[in-house]
Amino acid sequence: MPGEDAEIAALIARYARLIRTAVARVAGARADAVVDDVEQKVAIALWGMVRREQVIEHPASYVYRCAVRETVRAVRALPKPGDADADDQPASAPGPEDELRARRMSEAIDRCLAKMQPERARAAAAHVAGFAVEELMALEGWTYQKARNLIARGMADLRQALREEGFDDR
Amino acid sequence: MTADDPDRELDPADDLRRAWRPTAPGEHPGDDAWAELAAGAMAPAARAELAAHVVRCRECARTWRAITALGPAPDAPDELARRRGRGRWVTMLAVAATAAAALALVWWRTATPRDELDDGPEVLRGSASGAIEARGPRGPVAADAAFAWQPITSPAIDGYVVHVLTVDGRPVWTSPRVAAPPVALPPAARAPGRYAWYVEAVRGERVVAASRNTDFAIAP
Repeated sequence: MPGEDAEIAALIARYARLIRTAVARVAGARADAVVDDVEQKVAIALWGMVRREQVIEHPASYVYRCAVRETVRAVRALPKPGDADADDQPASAPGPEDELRARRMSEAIDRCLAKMQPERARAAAAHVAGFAVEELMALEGWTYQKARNLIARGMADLRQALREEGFDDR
Repeated sequence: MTADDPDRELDPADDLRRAWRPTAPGEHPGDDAWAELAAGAMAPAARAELAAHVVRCRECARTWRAITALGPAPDAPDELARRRGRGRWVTMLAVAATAAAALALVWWRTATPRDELDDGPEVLRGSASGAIEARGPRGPVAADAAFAWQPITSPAIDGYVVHVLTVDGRPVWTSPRVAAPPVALPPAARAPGRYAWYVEAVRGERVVAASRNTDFAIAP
């Protein structure tokens, strides 16, 4: 039906643009090189999925689910985080002792998180991983208050556990 | 102050961030898991499992952030807004304010479908920690306008980076790192047209907070 086709076309165009924006945002400084053709590729892929369906009962929901899949694919096609990524390049090359200490601390963090109350451990892990409070709310489905409290308590528990392992504060 | 105090300063965890090299448990989530999560249809236990993976896997964290930027699934409740626990009167005020803002902007936006201009990750909206409040430019502005935002006080940061995009997401300009607002519009974004911009707060090479996308237009 022409009306339905127009609705789907509008949805596809909308999500193709949104996916391009989303991918550009997470690709960071390397966006120019990788996102130029994302919108077109995504639109073609979404049309392909739509055409494979005989009847689409809820076009908006269907196209949204397709958009999620295409977003996953587009992000996976980006260079992997850590591949020649400045995030992994320390400002100055650490000596073997610094590296050993960092590795020991990393292992200690894992051990301490494993011993903690699960929700506090998840909140502390997310905080240490660089997730903002609102991101944690969306990821875990927590309220702002709950996310803040769990981060505060989780970090206190983690610091205490690290002290007990011999890693003193900062 | 106690851990229950929402204004309590969070541990910046810089030392732990530098040291921690987590190993993500399990395999990367499949397409169906991402789709379920995005649609708000994931069971709590599965969601917790996925969250545990996402915070330990930089690739999946990036995927999750991109999916979140799509916005909520059609017909799905905006869980984030609902969970903020605002009262009904606050919601009504927000609706009224949104309507007023929409009316004020409608004259310059009529040439563009609403959907084309509406984006920005839901998780970064609002004024809580993790979000930067963008002040302007917004809507039609002169070419001598400057990017301004509410500086954040926590967590500790090294500076800000401003990004300008076309409204359909093509990168136009990225600022050098700056200590504070304002930042003048670059020549690349002074040409007549519609743009979107956002600002990120960075520490080292890590983005610790960001604003939502804000649209502005330079008149011909």
